[in-house]
Formats: sequence, structure tokens, C-alpha cells
Amino acid sequence: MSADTTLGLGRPAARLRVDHVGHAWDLQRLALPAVFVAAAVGFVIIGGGNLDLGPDEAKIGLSAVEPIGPFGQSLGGWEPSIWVGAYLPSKLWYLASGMWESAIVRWPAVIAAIVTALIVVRTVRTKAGVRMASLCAVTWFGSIAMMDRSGDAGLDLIAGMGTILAVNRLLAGGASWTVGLFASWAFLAGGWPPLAMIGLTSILLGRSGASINYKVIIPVVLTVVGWSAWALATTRAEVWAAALTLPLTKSSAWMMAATVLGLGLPWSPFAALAFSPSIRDQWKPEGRAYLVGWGQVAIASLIAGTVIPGFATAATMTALAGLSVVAAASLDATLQATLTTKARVWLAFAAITLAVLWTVFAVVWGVQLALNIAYYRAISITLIALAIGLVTIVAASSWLGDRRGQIASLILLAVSFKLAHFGHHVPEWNYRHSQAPWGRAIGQWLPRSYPVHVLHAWPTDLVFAIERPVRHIVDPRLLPDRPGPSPKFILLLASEFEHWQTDKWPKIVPVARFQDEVGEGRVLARTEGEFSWRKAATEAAAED
Amino acid sequence: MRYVIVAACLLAAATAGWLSWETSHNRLVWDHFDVVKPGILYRSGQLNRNQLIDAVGRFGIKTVVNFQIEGPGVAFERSTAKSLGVDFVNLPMPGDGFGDEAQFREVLKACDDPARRPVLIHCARGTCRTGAAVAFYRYERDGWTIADVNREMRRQSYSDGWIAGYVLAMTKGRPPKDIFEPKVTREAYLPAAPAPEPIKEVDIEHLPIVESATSERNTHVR
Repeated sequence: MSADTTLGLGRPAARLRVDHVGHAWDLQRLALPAVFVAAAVGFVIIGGGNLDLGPDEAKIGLSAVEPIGPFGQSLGGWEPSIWVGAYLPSKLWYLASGMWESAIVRWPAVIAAIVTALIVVRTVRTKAGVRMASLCAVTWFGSIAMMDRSGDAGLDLIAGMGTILAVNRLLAGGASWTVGLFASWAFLAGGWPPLAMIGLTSILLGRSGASINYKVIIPVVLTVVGWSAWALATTRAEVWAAALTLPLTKSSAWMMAATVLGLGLPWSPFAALAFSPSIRDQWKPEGRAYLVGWGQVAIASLIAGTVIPGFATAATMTALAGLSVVAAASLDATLQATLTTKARVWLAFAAITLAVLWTVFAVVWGVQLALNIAYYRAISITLIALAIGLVTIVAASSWLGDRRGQIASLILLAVSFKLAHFGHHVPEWNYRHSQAPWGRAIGQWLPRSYPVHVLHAWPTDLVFAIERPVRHIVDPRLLPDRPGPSPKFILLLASEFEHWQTDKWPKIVPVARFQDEVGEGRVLARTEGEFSWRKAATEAAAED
Repeated sequence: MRYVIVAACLLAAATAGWLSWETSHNRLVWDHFDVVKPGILYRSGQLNRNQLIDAVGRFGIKTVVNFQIEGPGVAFERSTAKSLGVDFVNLPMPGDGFGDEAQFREVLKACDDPARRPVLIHCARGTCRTGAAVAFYRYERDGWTIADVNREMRRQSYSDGWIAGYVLAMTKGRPPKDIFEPKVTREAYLPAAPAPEPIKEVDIEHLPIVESATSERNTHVR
């Protein structure tokens, strides 16, 4: 219905009202998407698939290239620590791209980080305004956790997405079917610890609207029952039970809180500003319960993740989200409030300390790096220049009491972290610690459809990097009868090859010998018989 | 404030100048030093006497391989190595890293011998000749792919791109080779195929007629 401004028959459209300045309205509308996209691209999407996989993530990658089941699979057996939801996005990525590489694990995590931010930032905008939502996008994407996203740092973005969004919805709108759906996803991707975290949140909040009700319970119960039925129909009950009890076998993560605070840098220290009433008083009344709730969730997650065995991964994600939201809310409040002395001092102290520590580190380490390794010279000089600019801005803004300047210095610090991660950490990790070159060295010796057999477990990141199906056999005598094309390939330690019982076991011939990263020997061998790459390639082409 | 800024700029310029001077004289850092494989193979550019003594002490280097052409520098390093009780090998090759296979295999021999390793290999800058020797080691001992070897060379400041392929051609084992057989594809070079047998002319008129088969086929057609 069109608005009639003369007769007052309806509410006039915003564009017709003289009290709305068109340009300002447009800019304000564009500000949040622009900040969101810039932060997502700058901090997360650039270099999103570069980091090679570590041992835990490689299990997801291995599961993604196997048939779908209630659990992941590695070495031809079930992997109870990998839930179906954890590897399903990677499976889809693998099917779409056809590429057997670390990107099939990395890019789904990037997407999960963006989807999580999209929904949380939208909620923050509704509850607390555009500026706070923009800051929230920066504090989320601009944290070390979102730059890295690796499972080896204790991060699980896929299950974390379900947990964070369920908690977010619980805080913003109370228990609903949506919470149930998010919680169901969290269960499928991470098992019961995420559900326990969601339940803990509900109990902690103690609000009537946020208490768990049938709308949450029904989808979750249906998911648990459906998944259990699938699991029990597909495999033995022991695997199902192992998946459920695995978290209980873990010990308490005593360093979890310190790790989370580190992963939340450079923003996590500023969440502490929320303890100041002068900060909380600036929060809009309609959003205060939501923001306070996230603060409570962060604290509870830090405690629960540290103390309760098996909770660390699920709690890390909610703690990071809580710190991110509360830090954004606190920094936003500093822009409009007269702060108490304690809050003012903490803001300046934390900003200056971070800036100075980083500057000292960047200058000393950067000079050393630039002189030693020419490959890193450009990034080192850039980081040193940024660090000098950073310390100048933070000193000047603290001297002048300019809080915008202090926040700008934190953004500059986050940019420096990203550059250091992208330009140094990732290539250095890939070169020094990744198993990818060692795995590809093995994989190049046999066609893609030929499985590699092993007699014991090998590092999963090495197995993933071989880029061929790897199958564990319990007895060498089974080798000739394994399914798949012949001859059969087997990866052995040099000592295993030397002690191969030629009179009892199938005859094998060495294909290639390798050394690992410390000089220990490996041998790729195959059963006797003719093998021709030409024939294998022809057969593969015929199958295609 | 203005004086502070000017003083800071002067200090920064002086520091940068000092760093550049010291670096250019190889006194500040170990030029292009890196660990290829702990306890087995290390690489660097030209180290000065003190740095070489430090490297031998810190990593227990037993063999130093120098790829530079014989001259006063090489002679000095030889005498330094001798005074340290370290084996010294000189494998002079062109500065672009295009050495001979036999030279690269000498490096492998030293690395494979527990009595001679750890081995420190170096040239002037530690990029081309040293990079070529490391590439050869990666292919022959670690089995790395050419892409990974090339990536490692780029990381060590080698940007020309052809050494990885040049060295690969010298390696013994490379998969898959038989996919490219026959090696000579020009038809004229292939062994002559036996001539096809001439088609015999058949007298159709005198062929036997199988009545039952003919009638059955006709039935099916209908």
C-alpha cells in the first residue's frame, strides 16, 4: 500500500520523509555489509585454503573421499571421532571439485565461519545497532582463531557453527524449532558435547524464554535416534558406542582458557571491559540481556571447557563467540561513554601492551627473518613498518584519549596478525611440519585407483597426502586377495621390508624407497606380476 | 616532539644502514642457512670463519661441501675445516647450478655415510648450486615430486624455475615411465609390421547352404 502523506492514512515511506537524509541513510545501510565483506575477505577468505592439514583434520579429509556413513573412515575402517556432519561439507566440496587436497577441509571451515558470523552479526545489529554489529564482524573475523581455523589449534568451525547459532538463537529469541535444528546439526557434526554446551547455556541463563522445551528437544531426539539407527544398521554397536564415549576418554584441558584468550587476540582482552558498569550502561536496554548472556556463556564455556573432560572443543567455539560479541559491545560502548577510571586505564593499558609487545616482537623477529630468509623479506619489512605505525597510533591516541584511534590501532594489529599468518606461518608450517610433500612422494608411484595397503596405522596427514585410498590389513597373507586392481601395493617401513618373510608371505618387489623427514626409511612395494602404467591408464579411461 | 621524530628517523636510518653493511659483509647472519634434514643435511651461503666454527659446534657438522670454483676463499675454508677436524669436499660447478650428476652424487654419498654426516653444503649465496644439490637429494632420497622441489627452491630465493627440471633428468627412479612407451613414435622408426595377408577370393557360388540356419534367421526377422 502506498503511503499518503497528506491525509495521514498510513505511515509514510522513509524515502518521502523530510527528517530522513537520503545519503546518510544509504551510507549507514551500506556500512555494515561493506565492513562484513571487507573483514571476511581480508581476514578469512584470502589464503583460506592454503594451510596443509594436520593429523586431526586429515581424518576429515580422508573421510570425505570415502563413501558416506554415520562416521568418518580412515585406512579402510570406521573413525568414530569423525561424525557425519563433520566431514559431509568436505565430501560435498570433494564431489564438486574432484580435487584431493587440503582445500576440501579448509574451504568448508571458511564458509562455516562466514555463515556463523552472518547470523550472529545480524542478531547483534537487531539488538544493539549497526556500529556494534560492524565491530562484531571485525572482532570475529579479525581474531587469530578465524585466521587460522585449524583443528590442531582446537577449533571446529563445522560443529561450532551449530553450537554458536543455537546459543545465539537461545539468547536472542528463546527456545524454538530453529534452536532445535541448529542443535541437531551440532550433534551430527560434533556428538553430544555441543548439546551439553547448549543445555548448559540454557541452565545458566535461567530465563523462562531460554529454557529448553519440546521445540528444541524433539528435533534433537529425532536426530539422535535417526543417526543411532543408521549407525547401528550400518556398523557394529561397538563403533556407535565408541563414538559416544570417546569424549569421556579425554582429560581436562587445563590450558583451554589461556588458549582461547590467545586465539581471541587482539580482541579478547577488551571483553573484560564489560565488567565496568560504565560500559554496560551504554548498551541498549533491548539488547542488554543478549549481550550479558553472551558474556555469561563465554565465562561458563571457559570454566566448563577447562574442567569437564571432552568439552574443550565445543566450549572453545562458544567461548570465542562470546568474547567476540562482548568485546565488540564493550569497544562500541567506549565510543559513546564517559568511562570510569578503571575502564579507561584497562582500555589504554591493554591496547598499549598489545601494541608494544607486538612491535618489539615484529621488529626483532622481522629483522632476523628479513636478513636470514629472503623469501620472507617483503612480509618482514611490511610487518615492521606496520608495527612502527601501530605503536605510533596507539601512543598518540592514548595520549589524546582518542578511543577511535585506539580501536583503529587494534584493527591495524589484527591486519598485522593476518599478514604474519598468511605470509609466514602458513608457508613455514607447510614447509617444516606438513606431511604433504612426503605423502605426494609416495602417491606418485601408483595410479589413482590403486589402493595402498599398510600393516599398521600411519600418520593420517601422511596418508591423506598420498592421495590414494589407503587400506589397513591385519595380516600380510591377505594382500593378494584384497579387492581392487592387481598388483597390490603395500607401504612398509624399511625394517618391515627387510624382514618380509618371503617363504610364508606373498612375494613382493620394491617399487620405490623413500626417507622420511628424519631420515628413516620407507619402502613402497607391490606383489609380483606385471604392472604397466599404460595398462592402468587405459583401464581407468575405460572405467570413466 | 619534532626533535623526537627527527631523532627517531635518524636512529632508524642508522640502524638500517648498519644492518645492511653487516649483512653485506656476512657478519650478522648465517647467509641462507637452513636445515634440510636434521642430523643429515644442512645448507647455507658462504659462511665466514666464525660462523663455520659455530655451525660445526652447534650441529656437529662432519663434512663441508663447497660448490665454488677453487680460489683463495675455498683454500681458506679448506684450512679452516682441517683445523676443525671436518672433512672438506670441493665440487666446483657453474654459478647457475648446472652441475654434473657425478658431483651431485658425491653429496649423496656423504649424506648416506653415517661417519661423514651431518653434511653442510654451500655455495656463494646458497641459492642455485646449493639448491640444485638439495633438489637432487630430495628426488633421490625423499622421492619428492618436482612441484614440491620447485616450491622449496622458490622458498630459498631461487626464482628462475629450471633447475628442478634439470636435476630431475639426472635421477634414477621416476614414475611413471612406461606410460610414454613406445619411446620413438615416428612410424618410420618403428619395427616393420608384418604385411597383412592378402584376402583370398572366395567363390560364393560354391559355398554350402545351411538350410536350417537361414530359415531360423528369417523367422526371427519376421
